[in-house]
Amino acid sequence: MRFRMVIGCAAAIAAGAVAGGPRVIGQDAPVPRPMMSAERTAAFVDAASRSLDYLPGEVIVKFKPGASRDGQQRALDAVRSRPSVDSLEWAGEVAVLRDPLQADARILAEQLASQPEVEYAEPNYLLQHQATPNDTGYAPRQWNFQSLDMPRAWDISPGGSASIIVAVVDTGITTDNNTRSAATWNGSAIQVISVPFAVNPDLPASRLVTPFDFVSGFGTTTLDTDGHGTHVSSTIGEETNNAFFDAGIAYKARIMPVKVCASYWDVQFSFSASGGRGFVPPSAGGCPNSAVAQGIRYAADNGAKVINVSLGGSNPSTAQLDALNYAVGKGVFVAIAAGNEKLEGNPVSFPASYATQISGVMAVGATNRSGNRASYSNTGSYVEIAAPGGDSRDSDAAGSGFIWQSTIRPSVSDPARVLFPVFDNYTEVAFSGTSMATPHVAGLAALLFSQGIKTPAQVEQIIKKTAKLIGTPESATNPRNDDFGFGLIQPRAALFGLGIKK
Amino acid sequence: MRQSVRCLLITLTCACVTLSSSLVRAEEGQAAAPPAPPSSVGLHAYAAIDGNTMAASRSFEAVLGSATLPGYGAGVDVTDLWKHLFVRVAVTHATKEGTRAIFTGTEAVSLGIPLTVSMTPIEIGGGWRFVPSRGRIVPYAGGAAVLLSYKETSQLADPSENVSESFAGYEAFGGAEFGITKWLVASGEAQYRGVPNAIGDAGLSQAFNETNLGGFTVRFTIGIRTGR
Repeated sequence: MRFRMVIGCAAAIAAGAVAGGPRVIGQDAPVPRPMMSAERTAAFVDAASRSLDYLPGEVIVKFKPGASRDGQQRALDAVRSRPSVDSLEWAGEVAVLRDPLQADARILAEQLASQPEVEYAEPNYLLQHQATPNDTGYAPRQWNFQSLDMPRAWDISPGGSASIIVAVVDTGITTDNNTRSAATWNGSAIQVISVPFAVNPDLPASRLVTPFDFVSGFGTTTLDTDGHGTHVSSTIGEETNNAFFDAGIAYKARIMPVKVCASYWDVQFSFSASGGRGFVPPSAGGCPNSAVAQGIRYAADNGAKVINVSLGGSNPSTAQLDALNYAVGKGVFVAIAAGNEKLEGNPVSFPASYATQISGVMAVGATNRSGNRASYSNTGSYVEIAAPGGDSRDSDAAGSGFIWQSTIRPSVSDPARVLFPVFDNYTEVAFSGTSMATPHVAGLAALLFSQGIKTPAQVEQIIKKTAKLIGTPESATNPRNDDFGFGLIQPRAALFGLGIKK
Repeated sequence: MRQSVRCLLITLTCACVTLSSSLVRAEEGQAAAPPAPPSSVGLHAYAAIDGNTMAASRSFEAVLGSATLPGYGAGVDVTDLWKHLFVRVAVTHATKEGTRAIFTGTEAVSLGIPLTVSMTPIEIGGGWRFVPSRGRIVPYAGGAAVLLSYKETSQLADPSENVSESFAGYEAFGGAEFGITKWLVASGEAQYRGVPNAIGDAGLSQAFNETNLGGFTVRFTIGIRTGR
């Protein structure tokens, strides 16, 4: 993933970044409070250090309906630290349990799952966002929208409606223009710096609604310290026809930033603020299952009609499945990235693989600029639809084969390049991945809801029925295949529909 | 299309008036001229109101909310050409507004994009009138070839996305005339029209596997008649 080569480059690039970047407050300044709890920060660092795909010592537990408080407590007594029911962090119907005495969350989950009062218990797995960043070159951009004939789709539905809210369950989208103090490691000491944040000028705050941060403790303010969430939201709804940066599909829809992923910087700032010395591992961060499930439920409870989940992992999770069912039950359509691990053994990706179980949830594979399956895009029976995701293998040196959207400028925020990041500087950036394909489907769903489609199941069926199948169908009666699902989305056809003869 | 229908109606009316006056002149002339065999040819010119229930009912219901289209038009039957044989030329026009839709496999979902469907069948055929020895009611039956002009238009469509095509078909009909006065006649008629393979290659008709652009029509006419 994107953080792997971080530190080696950081020292070389940092000097330049500091000169024009943030003001260094100095080591005597009061250390800001950690963004995340110390336990959570330590868990992120520990997970990255040991290459775990879950947060150590954390499990998600759901008690059986009707389990009394005493019964719940009896079940909790089965684990070594014997936590009280009051210490649980509740997220809807499920609770997050932290046990400092048992780091192996799989053992914890097994202990709890065997209790009669427990419906299920599972490690708090970390999902990863499904993008591969690339920041070279700008032009030619947005072949993706051209290949989908978006101008003709916009003829029918010019950007959708402001009454439709699309939640981006991701690394967040910055919702205010403020400079904050943060503690970080400068290579030899903890240093407090001022870190400026700004709203994406091409996705103004007026279009952002009811943000919430489930991972780094900012509550109703979300800050993107990674760029992934902002890039995804730009594909869905970046301002369009304003002669600035790029276009977005549903550019009148409102966007709900739901931060469920901690970035490298979120972990580093919290680690340093907690007194931790040194750099956290380059891969630190991720999206705890508990936060993802909470974020999906939050979006459904707060008016979203579409949820974009450009995240995935290889571990099944009943909490995810429950959250998806909950959202669809509230009339919300969910688009999920199918995963980028085709070349790494093509493991089944979760929560994408739940899509076939729920009408109104779609797993999205990626195509490249040539209209073929992107080399990294997972294949399997759970892939339901395809959209442009870009591919470095189908690109030139200028990055013409990637998906270009506005997000925070990597050269001043990427931990591979800078020691002191800033997050108020936006530019067009090239990413590729099923993460990038997914917001195309979410944006189309927003346009369909804007046009009066009522249910997520109808949205899914319309998108499937109007898709253009690439390759050979599975059978005459099942016009799909494992590479593309039902094919490449056709926004114009989906929005225009059919007459009697044509 | 409306203009062409109007032209056709005017033409039919003129033809009707011309024929009527020539017949009247012929009858007037009989008084002065030497006795001649009475003319047996009659004319029945009429305005029609149709109710068309389409055979492709699911396709039309999905777009128009109903498989029935109201229509209007006019026709001329030239009667008693040989005994009670008559020939007919009629043209009607049916149009209805709906919205484009998609069939999900279980239901048709409207996408709210306005769509106008119009049909203009031209019928050329004939039949037999079962003229009773007395009474005002004359049953009849017959058949016709049909040339159906069919259009689907949407404001948001590119020209290539609209439909404007003509199809050949056939129809069988039967009904009864009721003589209100000597000249004024009303009739009720039922038709079955077949326009096979006109649809079904794309669009909702393909999803529903419906190919026939015909159906059942109930027609009411009011017109003038000469002859018996």
